[in-house]
Amino acid sequence: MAVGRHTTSIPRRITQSVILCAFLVLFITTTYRGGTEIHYPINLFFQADPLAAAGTMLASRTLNAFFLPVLLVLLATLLLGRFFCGWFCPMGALLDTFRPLMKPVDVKKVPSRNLKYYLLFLLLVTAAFSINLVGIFDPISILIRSLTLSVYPLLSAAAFAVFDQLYYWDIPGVTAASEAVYGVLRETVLPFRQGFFLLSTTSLVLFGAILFAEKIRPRFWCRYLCPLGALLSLFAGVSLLRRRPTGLCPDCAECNDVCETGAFDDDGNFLKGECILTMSCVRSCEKKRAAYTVGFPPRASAPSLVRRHVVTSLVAGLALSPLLLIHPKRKLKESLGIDAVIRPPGAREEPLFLSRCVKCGECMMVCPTGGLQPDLVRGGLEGMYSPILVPRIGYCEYHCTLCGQVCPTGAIEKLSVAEKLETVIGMAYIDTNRCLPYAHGINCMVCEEHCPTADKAIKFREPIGETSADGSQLKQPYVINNLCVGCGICENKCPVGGSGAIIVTSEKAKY
Amino acid sequence: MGADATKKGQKGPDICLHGRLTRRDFVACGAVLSAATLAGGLVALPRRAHAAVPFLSTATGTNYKNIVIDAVDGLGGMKIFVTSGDVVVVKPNIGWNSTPELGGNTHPDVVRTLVELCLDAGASKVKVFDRTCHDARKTYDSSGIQAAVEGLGDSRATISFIDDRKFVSMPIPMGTALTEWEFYKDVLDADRLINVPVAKNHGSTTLTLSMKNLMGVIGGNRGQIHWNIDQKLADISSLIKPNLIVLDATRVMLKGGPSGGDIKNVSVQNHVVAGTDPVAVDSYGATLFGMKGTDIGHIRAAHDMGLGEIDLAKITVKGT
Ligand code: SF4
Ligand code: SF4
Repeated sequence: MAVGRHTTSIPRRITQSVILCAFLVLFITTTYRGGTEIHYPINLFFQADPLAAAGTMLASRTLNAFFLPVLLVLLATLLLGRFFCGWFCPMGALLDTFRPLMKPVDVKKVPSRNLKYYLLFLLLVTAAFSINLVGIFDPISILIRSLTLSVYPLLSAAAFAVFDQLYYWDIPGVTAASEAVYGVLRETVLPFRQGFFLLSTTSLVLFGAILFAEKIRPRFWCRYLCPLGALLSLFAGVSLLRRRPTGLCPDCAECNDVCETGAFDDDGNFLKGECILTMSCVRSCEKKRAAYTVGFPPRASAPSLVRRHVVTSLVAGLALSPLLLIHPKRKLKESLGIDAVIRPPGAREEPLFLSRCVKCGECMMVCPTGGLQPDLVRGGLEGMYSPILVPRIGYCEYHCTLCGQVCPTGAIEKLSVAEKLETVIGMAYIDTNRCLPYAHGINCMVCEEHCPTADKAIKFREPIGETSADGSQLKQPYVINNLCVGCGICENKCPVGGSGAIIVTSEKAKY
Repeated sequence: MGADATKKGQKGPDICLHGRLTRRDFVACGAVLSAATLAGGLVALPRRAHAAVPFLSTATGTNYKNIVIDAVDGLGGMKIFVTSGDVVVVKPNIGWNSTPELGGNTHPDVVRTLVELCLDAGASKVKVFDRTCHDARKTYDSSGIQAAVEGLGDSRATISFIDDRKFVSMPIPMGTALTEWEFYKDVLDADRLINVPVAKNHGSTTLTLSMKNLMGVIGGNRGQIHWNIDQKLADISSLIKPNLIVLDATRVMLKGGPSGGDIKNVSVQNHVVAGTDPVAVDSYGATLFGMKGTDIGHIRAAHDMGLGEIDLAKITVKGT
């Protein structure tokens, strides 16, 4: 199949650019620059994301007023069709921006466009069993997450490297100028501090795959894979949208080549659910035959799903649920009451938390210490990319409440500072085999110094009658169980190499 | 100790701090100084001259602006320390995510007043910063210091976050536990350094006063400093010698330091102490906690290195 010529209309290009810019601006404003609040978090985009809304509300079995604007999107889709994909979706806009830069490759065999519906069914069935996998495949989530975990850290690392080098070279004239530019960039687009994330490579590879699939077919992701697109398709299929003619003209068939999503079936029939309203066909039809109208009653056009595949996806969804039930974390929780991982402060109880988390990574983006990291398998398959605190990488800043502020679904609840100070997320344990005062008889006390609780959760046993290597009284730290909130700053700052000599666990019980 | 001794104590600054010094002037000037000061002076900042008899100026009152001015005036006024065109670093404690009343950081009014005094004395630049322990974006904000400095609306006064590229390795000639470490370039390059610590309790050093506050101008893994910290702090003080120290004892955190957080542990003393001898300032500071300088390891170590006077009987303290 020839990859056709696509002409993009100016209004659409402008809309997409505005959306993409707004997306990037909100993304940048989700970096923490001081104060106690994030005013314009990027989570606003989820308010227009029916897939995230459906998956989260289904899995958590609660209605969430945050998602109200989704109704507007669905209504508009019932009226117009998949305008969201062609005009609004930032992922779509990004793909349309990148495609012209790439040379198409001629690949004959492509997946069935029904794949996206099967994926959608699978996700919704698992969600019905309270397992929220939606975020792993939702395009808004993928986009924010990929930017957060890999693209933004990569770009900023490159920028830091360049400006640092110019700074060290100290070239007369040049360095002064580069420092001035650097100063402005630091205030605006660069992060306060370089981000370091687990799974950055994995995220980049997946994101790259979505981008480069544009070489195979325009909007490859949207045509074949996107479950959000699939959901909107189902609504678009019964929309009031009408296209004239209802199929490819026998004497031309040009439309199929200029259409970004190839919205015609093998017999040349127009597929309403596949059309993303780019209007390329209208613009390129030399005979001026193609036109769109909205009219009543709707002429439904359903995807030609293969019943066998539908059943397979539903069964797969059903089968996934028990599979997730046999993850070891459940054993820990049930037999010992222990969570496998340390969640952010304000995170709901583990199963509820995961039923809401859409794995967008906003909390990781905003966490000032970089301690919130994407999980891979420790919290279960449905926990992939969900946030866990890794204290050795970054601790939870005692007065900070940012992650709860940006979480779109309320998986992490908004806490007041007073509530936050009381929130226990884990507990510290000292490894006396490695802790300097215990293992080597050397005074240290870094953990005690940093412990932020008003009445310090780390105290010293003193005097124990021994002297430190430097001649002072040896003081051995210990953790006061009911004062420790598990913030992890002690583990983070512990100067002992490798894993710290004080370690924060997900234990929360107070004795 | 009579007025004579006091005057003699002020003699150093009279020679060395009036007018801008060229390096040559400085070496010439250094010839009359103690060898220790000279050694320090050649590797880093232009040093204040070592007073033969240390002099501390104190003030008490609830208007923190006024007491800072009074204390500095007691030393002869800011013009003694800052002259026209000087690039001055004012180094408060902004280490902790804590609000002013909790005494974790230097009080913003104290910092603002010192910055103003420097500007009035003709400083061409006044830089305020600290290498923080908690997240700097938080501590700069919650301490009120960022707002205090920016509120002055004077482009010569800036508050900035630490730039990690600016740490440069320096030998510490007198150091015994620490012979080389990274120091912040802006401090090394400044014409004048004003150290503005807050007096508080500290788990490992018992107290944190002026010498401990210099931890905020060093780079590297500060956790490592905690081994043999007393000598290391003294070593740092042998290299970095502030021209003026103003110890903020307006609110004194008696327990739970250095992070604090419990108002019950804060004793409101409405007091400030200005001086140029770090050992003397810190030794006096210890008395605010009912201790003596000799009780505190790093103050003792600094005294043993000859960095200043620890014996309060040999220090002139004037003021309220
Ligand atoms: S984990 Fe702690 S430090 Fe990180 S964003 Fe959440 S509240 Fe803030
Ligand atoms: S985790 Fe460590 S630093 Fe945080 S409260 Fe507990 S003992 Fe203190």
